Amino acid sequence: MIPITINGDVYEALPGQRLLLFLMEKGIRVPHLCFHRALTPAASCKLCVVEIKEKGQAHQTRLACALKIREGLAVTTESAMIHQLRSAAITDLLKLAPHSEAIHRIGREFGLHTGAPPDGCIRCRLCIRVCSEIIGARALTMEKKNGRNFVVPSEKGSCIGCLTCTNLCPTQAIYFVDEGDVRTIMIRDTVVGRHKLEKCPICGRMFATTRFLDHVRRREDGHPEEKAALQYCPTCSKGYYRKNLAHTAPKLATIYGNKAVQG
Amino acid sequence: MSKYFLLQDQQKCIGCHSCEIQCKTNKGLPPEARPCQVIQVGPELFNGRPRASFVFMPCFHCENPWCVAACPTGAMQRREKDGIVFIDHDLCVGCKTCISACPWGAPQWNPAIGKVVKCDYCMDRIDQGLKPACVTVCTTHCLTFNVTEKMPVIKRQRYANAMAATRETWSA
Repeated sequence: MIPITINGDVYEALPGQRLLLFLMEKGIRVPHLCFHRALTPAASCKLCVVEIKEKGQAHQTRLACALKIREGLAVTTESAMIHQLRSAAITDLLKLAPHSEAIHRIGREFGLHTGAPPDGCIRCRLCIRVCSEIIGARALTMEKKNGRNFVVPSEKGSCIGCLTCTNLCPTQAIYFVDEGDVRTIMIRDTVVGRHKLEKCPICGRMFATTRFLDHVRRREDGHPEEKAALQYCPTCSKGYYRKNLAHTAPKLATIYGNKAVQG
Repeated sequence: MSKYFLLQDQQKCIGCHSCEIQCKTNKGLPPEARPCQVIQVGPELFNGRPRASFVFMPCFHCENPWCVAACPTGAMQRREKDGIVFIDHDLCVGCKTCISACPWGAPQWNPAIGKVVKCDYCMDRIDQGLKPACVTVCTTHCLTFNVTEKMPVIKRQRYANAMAATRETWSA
């Protein structure tokens, strides 16, 4: 047994033992992700960096998982230098595994600069802009939570379920799910809108939300011509103007299978 | 209507869908989007025999297009000089209002680019003096494209043939 100093306290340690293992035994918290007791150290996550001081030498930084305990070692596990190195290491790790809760947990515990966990949204506001400028529904807005902006539904019921936002979103952070006759538009785990889907009276497929079709009708106001009051899906509309609809409809259904149609 | 006309002689069409394929190839479209589509009607029994017709459905290039009226960004436009209704992809946001507004389902959704695509009579080709892609490959030459006043008189010709005195009546 040899004496070593850790954060100013003297401990008796076995020479040749990995420093990280010794620190863990003594209950001194040092972050690490790639260390395993049964395996040789890989020194790849670089989170377990500590500062050492040996007689006659300047301060040095070393990875605790790889360093073997030797005589006269003085170890510091927390310092401004260490904090900076760990922050750099954790930033590199997050580039590889941005959603890893383990990495974010270490960041929180050791106060490292990790940034907020990514949610897939790049705050480009395309969804907000298109909804207010083009569609006019103003269903989305930006809201600040804990110093960070988030896209949130603006007020209940203003979404019409047109899916232009999901179409424009460059990262697919805002998305939709069609289940039965209900369309749900979501961002993260927040519901932007839930809408009833209209069924095509000919082929029976769900093709657009009721509110969207109302929106289309409003857009067409003032058009000099009239068209059929009944709304068919865009595919069946092609057959509608022919009288023999009963014959075209099954054929159209086989062309497209039972996939949801556009619109 | 545009100053052009795309005439389909239904009696010649065999429903081979070559026009659809050439259209999609020319525009580089995925399977879902069909700016022109041949719709099969029938078969039905006609004088005891099964008959089917194939109706060619491109865009009709309306005088007052529903799609242009409905488009909120001005992407859907009617070209002044010849009345071709086309879409400017730089302006399209993919809201699909035009798709629902068109009474004939002419505008098509292109999921590959998240924008609407529609028949524009291949106006880039027309401007080069070429015919629309669909017309060039029609196997039975049932599609004709030209300015409206130069359309062939197929219907009159057929009607005249049917009405004309037959050999039997001549000999009588």
